[in-house]
Formats: sequence, structure tokens, C-alpha cells
Amino acid sequence: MQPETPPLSTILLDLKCAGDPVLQALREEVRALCRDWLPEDIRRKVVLNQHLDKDDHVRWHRILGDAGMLVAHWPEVCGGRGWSRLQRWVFENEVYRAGSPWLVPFGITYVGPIIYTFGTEAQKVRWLPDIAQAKSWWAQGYSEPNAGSDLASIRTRAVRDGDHYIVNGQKTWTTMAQWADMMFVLARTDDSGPPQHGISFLLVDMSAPGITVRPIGTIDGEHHINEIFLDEVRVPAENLVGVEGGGWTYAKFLLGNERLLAAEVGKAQRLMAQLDMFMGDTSIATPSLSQDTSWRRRRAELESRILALESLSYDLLGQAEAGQDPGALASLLKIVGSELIQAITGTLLDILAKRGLSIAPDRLEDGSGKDRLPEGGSGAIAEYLYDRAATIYGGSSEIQRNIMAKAALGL
Amino acid sequence: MTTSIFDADARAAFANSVDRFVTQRYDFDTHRRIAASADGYGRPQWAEMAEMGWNCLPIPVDQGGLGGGAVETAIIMEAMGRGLMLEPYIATTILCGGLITACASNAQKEALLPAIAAAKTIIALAYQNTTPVLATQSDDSWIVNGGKTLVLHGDCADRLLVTASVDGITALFMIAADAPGVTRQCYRLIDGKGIAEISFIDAIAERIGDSDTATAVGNVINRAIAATCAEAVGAMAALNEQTLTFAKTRQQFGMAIGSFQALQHRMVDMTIAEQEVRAITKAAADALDAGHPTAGYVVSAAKVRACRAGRLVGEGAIQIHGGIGMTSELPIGAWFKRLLAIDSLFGDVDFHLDRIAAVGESA
Repeated sequence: MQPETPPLSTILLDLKCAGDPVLQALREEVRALCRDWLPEDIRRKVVLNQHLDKDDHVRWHRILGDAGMLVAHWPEVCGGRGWSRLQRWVFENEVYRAGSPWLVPFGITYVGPIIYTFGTEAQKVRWLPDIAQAKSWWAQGYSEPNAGSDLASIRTRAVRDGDHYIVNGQKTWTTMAQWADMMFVLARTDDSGPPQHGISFLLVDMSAPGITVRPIGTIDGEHHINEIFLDEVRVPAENLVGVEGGGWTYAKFLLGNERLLAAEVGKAQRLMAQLDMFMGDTSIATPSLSQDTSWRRRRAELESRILALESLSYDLLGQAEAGQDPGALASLLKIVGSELIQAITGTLLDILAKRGLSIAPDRLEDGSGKDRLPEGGSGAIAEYLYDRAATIYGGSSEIQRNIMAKAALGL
Repeated sequence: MTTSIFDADARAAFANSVDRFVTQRYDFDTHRRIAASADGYGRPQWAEMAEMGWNCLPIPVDQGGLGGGAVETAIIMEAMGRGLMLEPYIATTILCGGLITACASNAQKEALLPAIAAAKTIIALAYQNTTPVLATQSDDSWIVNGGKTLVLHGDCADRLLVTASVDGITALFMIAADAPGVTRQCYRLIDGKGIAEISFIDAIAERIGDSDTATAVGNVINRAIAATCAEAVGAMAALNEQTLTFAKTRQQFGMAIGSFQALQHRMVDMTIAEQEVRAITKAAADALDAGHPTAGYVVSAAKVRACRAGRLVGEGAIQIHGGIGMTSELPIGAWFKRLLAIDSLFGDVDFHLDRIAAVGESA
């Protein structure tokens, strides 16, 4: 079966755009770009949840860069188009709906804004153009073996030595670091005060001597994440962003920026298209599950959850646009969005289980056997497994609930 | 499309006055007294609502109303949920007012809409059949036969707006509630609202309008569903507010129970549920006011989320309150029962899931 991007309910975005010609024009621009320029081989892999290699990501990111959309949310003076968060939201969700690979955020939405907000002129000139054109790949050096949810307890140390910092320590869960040219690192420069105070934000060249990248395999059979060992790595002092000890503040700025965009509505809609494919597949069930009341209801329940998440996103983005800080309420987008993606992929898994949750031949060393699953089945299982991470990374759901309890409910 | 007189400022001012009324004039004791009364609604409150312009709110400006849309109606309904109000607003103003506006002749509108606006009449919509409801013409009048169920506020209504088949189309008829041939079995919903099961035997009726009204009936029911979702938001907001206050003050093990993570996370989930319904209800109201052809799809999604959230918030509120949440002395249980009643009206979760599935298919 040829996976097509199916017609999906866009009623809420249609209504949103009806009174906003600028937003509507943007949306049409993004749709046209995806239709004309998203390479079919890449789109197909995404829609089938198959492995993407570095070149797939870079090719698409460069197309977006050339079209001036990759960093359109940056200020114009930095090479962006000054998009609002709502505009960025519409962009992201339109491309995901169309079958875009994950927009790798480490450069374009994580370190880029930190550099143009807190960095020196020299840093902006040195790093921003490469990020904007997808010429450099960045990794995020935050988590450590003993600092996950409790990020402030990091132990990686940076000691000033003339015009360099000497960095020693270990980072982990570092996504796509195997492809990275650069990594932004939280490192401890001072122990004397509270743990949050002595953390600095450094830009580290991944080719520097003393850096070792060890792959960590994940339960989906893929290589997404890595362990990074830093052994006497010399980092030029000019790669310190902002002030020494200011790293925690910058990292928090980033989180606040990012959480409003955390709800992956476009991805949820793409996964629903796959759900429709499986529900209509008579090799899974005859008559197909799309004729079955209980499965139709299960699907409709997910649809109602997507609509609720989408309307929540518009409400909170609207508040942000109006200059109100939705504050900790933005955490709920991360909670609801990640749990929804998991619910959808869990439903895909339940459907596939009807055929037996078999492993595809290309995942076995000798490539033996026959794929019992419908097209896209193996990828969907891998997606389900990998999406367990959605409620862990970027502040686990439990941490998000702690944040909301404290900051939104005053508990 | 309606021309609304409401801009953002007018809407905010209106919301303030609505809130003030509920806070000052409709406390929990008032709710209990009215729920226990034979009328089942507060006559002075119903009159005051009309004086404040609530009852003419959705009536178009050229018919003497305020031309408010679903967004403005939601302001009233949220307050009615918070205040546990029992007045027949959805039945008379939203359902019947909406249908009369959409379907009635000019003469009928002139007779009925001012009466609705001034709370001089209570009209209930009877649209769900127990037995087929047929209307036949004899001489110069119409005769209606059949049975209706779940007629919201059909107990206290003086007029009944009844859907009936005429030559295979859905027609609307007005029947006096005390007309010969009308038998009402009245009962109360779990939250105190009145409801009736009604049978018609050769009841004399006045036809409202002269065309097929099925679409119009569907439209006003969508508006009623969006309204009742807003009512649920009001009840959930009240439950969450009270529960949070309680958790911050109630001491056990030498500290406020709100300091326990298990309760914190539950209250966060209750807050999220309320926010979700608030957001999707607003989206549904926007879709209705924009006249979107598949607005009903968003409306159904809102109802599903409202039902799910209602259970989560109501059950959570009682659990966190502990024993005191079980008593009828606190409004906690009353808000919970309002949410349960909302579940059961205008289609339950399964009904709306099926509707979402059907709309998705035809889109």
C-alpha cells in the first residue's frame, strides 16, 4: 500500500486562519513547500516510521533553510523572519502533518536562541549562520548518569586555564550526538553556592581531543542516543555563553521557550493516518477494524483528545501572544502532548498485535524470515517503543506535574 | 451568521455581571432550597436573569435580542454550572428560542420571542421519541400523537415544542403543556433539574414554520451541547478551586495534605482536565459561531472530553476531600452530580464517539 498523506481534520486550524490572512498565507506557503520540495523518499520513511540517516535529515533541513523557514522564528537581524510562536507552531504542525522528519531542535530552537539572546556579537557571527542553513549539527549536553530529572546536580566540571576551560566529565542520553559537530554543555564552574548557581553554558567542538562518543542502543533497535566522555577537553574561553555561572538561567529560558511548542499535534495527526491505514487493512482483520464499533470508538476518543490538545495549544499560545506569561500552565502541553502520542502509538501496537508482534526480517542479523506485518508495521512498533521516551525527556511527566503543582496551583 | 453586539470589552463586562449574580444571588443554600421546591427552579431568579438580559442574549438583534453567539452563551452557562443553577435556560432560551428564531413565521416570532426574552414563558423541547410521534392535519388544526422522553424542564414548562413527522419530514409543533391529551411523568435528574416523559394523544398543536426542521433541530442541539460543556467547565472550575483550597488548609501528619505528591499530581491532572474542556468548548463555540459545516464534530469531541473530565474531576474532588466530600453539607457532591447529569444529557460518550467516527468518515 502506498502511504499517502491522508485528508485529516484541520477544522480548528481552518477556523484559526479564517480571521487571520497572514497566518493563512503562511500556512499555504508551508503546504506548498512540503508538496513541492519534501523529497518523496524521506516522506515515505517518515510516514512508515522507518530509519532516517543523517543525510535524510540534513537534506530536508537545508531545503527548509534555503526557503528561509528553518529559523524563521528567529529575529530578522539574526537571519530569521521574526515569526511569532503561533506562526512557528503552525509551521511545525503543517510540516509534520505532511510527513516531515523531526525538526532537530538542538541548533534551531535550543542553542540558536540562547546564542542570540545571551551571546556575544562574535558568537552570533560565528555560529548562527551555520545553524540557520543546517551546516552544523548540534547536540545537547545536559543529562549525566547521576543528573537526570535532578539536572542541577551535574558534575561535569569546567576549570579555567588561561584562555581555555578544561572540561572533564560525562554526559548521557545525548540524542544524535554521533552526527554532531558541536555540543552545548552545562558544566560546573563553581561548587561554593547552591547547585544551580555554579553552572556554566559552554559550546564544545565535538572533534576536540578528549571527546569519546559511545552509542547506546535503545529498545526500538535503533541508535538515537549516546554517552559522551569528556577527558581533559580544552574549550576556548570565548565559547562560554553569557556569564560564568549563568548557565542554569539560560537553560531555563530555553525550557520556557520550548514548552509552548511541545504539543506535537501534527505528528499525532500523521500517526492517526497510519492508524486509519491499519484499521482499514483486511489482512489484519476481516471485516476491517474500521467497521468495528469498539475500534471506531477508540479511534474517535483519540481524535477528541487531539482536538482538545490543539485547542489548548491555541489558548496558551494566544495568551503568550497577548503578552501574558502562561507560566507553568505550559507544562501541561508537554504532559498532555506526550501522553497522547503514547496513547496513539499504543493503539497502533494493539492493532498490530492481532497479527503477532513479530520482528521484521531487516531487524534480524541474518535477515531471515518473512515480514508478517503490514507495511509500516515494524516502524510503528519501533515508534511505540521509542515514544516511551516522550514522557521522560525534557523534564519527565512527573517533574512537569511537580512544576505545575508548585507554580500553577501554589502547592 | 449572527451580528453580535459584543466586542471584547462588552463581553468582559457581561461576564462580570454574570459572575456577580451567581456569587451574590445564587449560593449553595439557594440551590438546595430551589432543588427541594415543587417548582424545581427559582421564579425570582428566572425573572432576574431576564432583567439582566440573559434570556434575550442569543436572540438576534433585529428580533429585539442581543445577538450573542455560543461564545457569549458559554459565559452564562459556565456561571450556571458554578452556581448549580436550576433555571430552564438551555431548554427555553437556547433550544426553543433558537428553533423559533430559525423556523417560526414572523407572527410566531413576534408572539414568542418577547415572551422568552422576558421569562414570561417556559418552553421545553421534546425531540427524543419513545414511540413514533406523528402529526396530522384535521380541519384547520394539527393533531399530535406519540411519546417523548428526556424532555429537559418538561416538568415546569407551560409550552412544549415538539418534533413530529409530517409526510416523512421533521416538523415542529407548539403544544400547551396543560392541553387535553398531554400526559407528563415528571421526575428530577440527579442534580435537581426537572425532566419529563410525555405522551400525546390527539393533542391539538400549532405548527411552527412550514418546512423541514431537522437541520435546525440538529443545530440548536449542537448549541445546547456546547452550552452544557461550558456548564461542566463551571462545575469543574468550582470543584478544583474548592479542592485546592481544602488541600492547602487541611492538616494531617502535621502538614497540609496538599504537600503530598500523590495528591498534588492528582490535582494537576484535575486542572489539566478542566483546561482541556475549557479550551475545546471554546473551540466548539467558535466553530458554531463561524457557522462551520462540521462544527458538530468539534461539539461532539467537546462533549466526550467534558464527560471524561467530569468523572475525573468530580471523583478526584471527593477523594481528596475525604469523608467530608461525601456529605451533602458541602457543594462538592452537588457539583459532581451536576457533572454526572451533564454526562447523560444530549448524548453520552458512546453516542458522541460514534458521531465523531461518522463525521470523520463522511469528511
